[in-house]
Amino acid sequence: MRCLFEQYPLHTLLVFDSCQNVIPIAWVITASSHTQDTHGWMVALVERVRTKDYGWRPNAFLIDDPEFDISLVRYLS
Amino acid sequence: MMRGCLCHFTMKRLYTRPLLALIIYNQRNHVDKTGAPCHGFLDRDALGTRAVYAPRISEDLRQKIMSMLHVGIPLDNIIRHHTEAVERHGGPSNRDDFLTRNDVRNMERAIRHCTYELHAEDACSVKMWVQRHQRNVFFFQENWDMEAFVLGIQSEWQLQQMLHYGHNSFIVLHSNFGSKKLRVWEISFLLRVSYMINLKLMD
Repeated sequence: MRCLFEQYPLHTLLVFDSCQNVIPIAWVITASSHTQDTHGWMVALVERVRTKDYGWRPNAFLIDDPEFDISLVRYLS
Repeated sequence: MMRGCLCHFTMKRLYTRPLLALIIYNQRNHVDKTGAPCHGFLDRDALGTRAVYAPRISEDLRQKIMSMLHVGIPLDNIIRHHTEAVERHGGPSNRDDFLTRNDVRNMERAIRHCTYELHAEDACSVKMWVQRHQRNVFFFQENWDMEAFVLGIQSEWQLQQMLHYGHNSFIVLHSNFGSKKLRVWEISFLLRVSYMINLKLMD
């Protein structure tokens, strides 16, 4: 997998605990940030969380990729 | 078998589904004919000098040292940290407490030689990895004609953290994908995030 990590970028989803430590909560390896691909994993992840807690909802979603399709964030809220 | 351990199992595989196996334990516990434990901490013979016949670091300690090595903690610091911990609980008492520099060096070597390559073809490698880690894969989509795939990984522990700290709080997506085309202020944000991750792992 090492060569794959060099070839295919890694996205990390992070949360902060009460001491402001960063916890990686999911990783996504994908060769692109195409809206279609992002849509797929985002929906899968949110569904996975909501099967445990239907009312789960974050207040904000910070992104660092300028090409990220903002409209996808609606799946989180 | 030299210790008379009776633990054994039968494995059945279907010819048509070679990736699936049914394991039936005939004797699950590591005990001998008299019912006394043959390995591990419960084995009285393994205490004291007899332990030299089967010295082995526990899986817990191995994982701990491996993760320390993975985040780049130097060998000397690992040994010092370990020695301090042993002294705190009143001196060495089992194999784990006698961790040597050689043990750590062996683990270092294991990490260096580990390539994680399951198959010469990337496509097969990824598929095999997904097959083996189904519990931790929440999303997998492949399109090898385009040399593309999407693999989402999340362990049960991470899911719990997401439920707990993500609810009514905020989530950050850190992508190393677009780092080359980002503007300056965005790069500084990236650095801050990765710095904090390192801090967390070093704890």
